[in-house]
Amino acid sequence: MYVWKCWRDTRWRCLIYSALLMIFLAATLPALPPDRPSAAAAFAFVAIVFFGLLIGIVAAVSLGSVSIGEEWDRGSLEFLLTRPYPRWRFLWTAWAVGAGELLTLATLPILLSTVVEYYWFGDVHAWRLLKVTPLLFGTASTVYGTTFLFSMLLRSGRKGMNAAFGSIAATVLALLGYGGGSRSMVLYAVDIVSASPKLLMWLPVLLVFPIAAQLLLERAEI
Amino acid sequence: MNGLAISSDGLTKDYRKVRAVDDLSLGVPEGSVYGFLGRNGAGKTTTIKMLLGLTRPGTGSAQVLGLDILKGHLAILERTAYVSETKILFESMTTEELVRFNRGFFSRWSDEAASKYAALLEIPPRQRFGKLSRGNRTKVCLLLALAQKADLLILDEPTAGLDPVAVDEVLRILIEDHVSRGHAVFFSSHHLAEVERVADWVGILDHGRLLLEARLEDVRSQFRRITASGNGLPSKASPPVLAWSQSEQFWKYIVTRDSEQFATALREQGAAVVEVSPLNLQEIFLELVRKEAPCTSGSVGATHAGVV
Amino acid sequence: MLIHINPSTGVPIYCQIESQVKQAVAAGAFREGYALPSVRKLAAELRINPNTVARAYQELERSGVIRTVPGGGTFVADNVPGLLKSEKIRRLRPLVRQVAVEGTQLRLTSPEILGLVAEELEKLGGRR
Repeated sequence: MYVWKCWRDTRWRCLIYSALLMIFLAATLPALPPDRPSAAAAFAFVAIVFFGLLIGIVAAVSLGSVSIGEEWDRGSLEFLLTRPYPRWRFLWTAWAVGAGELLTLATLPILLSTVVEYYWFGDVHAWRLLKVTPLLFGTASTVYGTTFLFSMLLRSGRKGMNAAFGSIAATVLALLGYGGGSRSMVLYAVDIVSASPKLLMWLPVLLVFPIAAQLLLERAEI
Repeated sequence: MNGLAISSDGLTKDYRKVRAVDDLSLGVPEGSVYGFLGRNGAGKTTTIKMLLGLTRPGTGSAQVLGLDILKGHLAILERTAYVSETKILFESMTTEELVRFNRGFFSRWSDEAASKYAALLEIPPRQRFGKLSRGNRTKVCLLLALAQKADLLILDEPTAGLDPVAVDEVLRILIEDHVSRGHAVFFSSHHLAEVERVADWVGILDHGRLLLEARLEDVRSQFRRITASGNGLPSKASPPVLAWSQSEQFWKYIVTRDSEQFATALREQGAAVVEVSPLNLQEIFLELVRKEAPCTSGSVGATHAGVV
Repeated sequence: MLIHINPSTGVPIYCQIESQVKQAVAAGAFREGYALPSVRKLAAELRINPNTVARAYQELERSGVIRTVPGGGTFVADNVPGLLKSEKIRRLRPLVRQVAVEGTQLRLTSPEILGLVAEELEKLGGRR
C-alpha cells in the first residue's frame, strides 16, 4: 500500500522529467551520426551529457526531497508512523520507489531513443549514449541519496532540497576551481564514461544514504 | 494482564528544560471510557505519543493492552486506533483513497463499518483531504479509526471542531459499537460536559502530573465541596482533602470521601460549616487546576491553595 | 424512547433513568411485561456510558420494578413485590422531608403543601 502512495506522490514529476529528457534527446540525437560534421556531433554529445546530468540532478533532488521529506513538511508522519509497520520499511520503500524511478529515468529515454533511431534512421548511433548511463545514474543517485539524507536530517523536504542544491553548487564550483575550467570537466567526464567497471563502486555509496536515514528515523521523536 | 488496557509507571519526559510529563502512573481499566483531562500544554499529547511509540519516555514504563510500549510497539499499533490532535492525513488523497490506504494495515478492518460511518457522519467521499473543512477532516480521521475495529481507541480531542450533530453521532457510534463491546476508549477532551456523560473514569493532568484519577461515579457521589468559616482551620492537603483554599475567614475544601465526617470534625473545631455541596466535573477540574494569584483578584481571591 | 436525561442538572444520570422508569411504571405507561431496551441500546440512544444504564437497571431490579430474564431482556415486573412497609416508608421519607423543607422555605402553608401532593397523586391516576 505504501508503494502505491509513494508512486502517487512522485508520478507527475517522473513523467515530466522523462518527457523533458526525451524531447531533448529527440532534438539532439540526429546530430550524432558519424556522417555529420564532427564538430556538431561532439557538441551534440556534450550537450546530451550535460543536459542529461542537469535533468538527472534536478530529478534526483526533486524525488529525494519528496518521499519522507514531504511527510515531515506536511506533518503526516504522525499518521504514518502510527500504522503497524516498522519505520525502516516505510523508509526503504520510499527510497526504493525513488531510486527505481531514477533508474528508469536514466535508462528508459536512451533506450527509447535507440529504438526510434533504429527505425527512423536505420542505424543506431545512440549505443554510445548507453555508455553515459553509468555516469548519469551514478551522479543522479548520489544526489538523490544526499537529498534523501538531508531531508531526513533537517526534518523537511524543502530544507533538504535547499541543502542539496547548495552542496551541488559548492561541488560544481570546487570542481571548476580544481579542474581549471569547464574543459577539464568534460575530459574528466569522458574519463569516467570510459571506465565502466567503476559502476560497481557506486553500489555501497548508494546504500550508505538510506542506511543513515534509517538510523535517523528510528531514533527520531515525532 | 492486570485488567488494565493502559497502565503506566513513573512515566517521565523532559524536553530541554521543561518536564512535560512528570512521574505519571495512570491506569485505564479494560472496557472503560477514560477521560484524560488537562489544560493545553499539560502533557496529554506527550503522554499519548509515548504510549504509541512516537516519542520515547525519559524514565518509567508503560503497557498498552498488556504489551510494553517499547518492545511491543507494533503489536500495540495493530490493536489500537488513534486519532491525533493535529488530524493531518495525506492532503492529496480523497476519503476513498485514504480508506483504501489504511485498510491494508489492519486485519480487522471492516469495510461495512467504514461505509456505514462515512454515511452516518456525512463525509464527502471524493473530495481531497486537503480541500476539506476542519470538521470534515476530523470526521475522516475518526472514520479511519472507528472502522479499524480496534481493541482500544486512543483519541486526542476527537470532537474538537465538530458541529453538535456530528458530535452526537460520534458519541453514539462510540458507545454502541465500541464501549458496549467492551473495548476501552482513552480520550482527551476539553468538552467536560461530554466527558461527564460518557466517561466512567477521569484522569486530570496538570503540568505533567496526575492530580486526580478516579471513577466518575465516586466523584459524583462522594466528592464534596465544603465551605466553612472560622479560624485556624486545617490547611493540609492530606486525604481525604484533595485541595483547599482560603480567602479571608472562609475556607474551602474539596474532599474525596466521608464529607459528613469531615464537616462534623470542622464543627468540632468551632467552625461554622456554611455548605456541603456536590461538584460537577468542570468545577472539580477548575478547582484543581486553576491557581489564583494571591491577593490580586480583587475582593475575593484565594490566598493559599494546596493540592495533594 | 420515553426516557430523556439531562446531564447538567445535579442529579446523577442513573437516578434520572431510575426515576423516569418508576414514573412511567406508576403512571401505567410501561405496563407489566413491557420490554425495556437493552443496556447497550439505551446507552447509545442517550449517548451515555453503558455502566450508568446498567446501574440504573440494577437499582430498578433491586427495588423490584423490573426483572431480567436469564436468556436476555429486561421487563417491567409483574407486580412490585411486597417490600416491607417499613422499608417503603424509609425510602420515601427523605424525599418527603425535602418537600417539607422546600415548602416551608417558600412559606407555603401545610394545607397548600399537602394539596400539591394530592394533586400529583391524582395525576398518576389509576395504579393504586
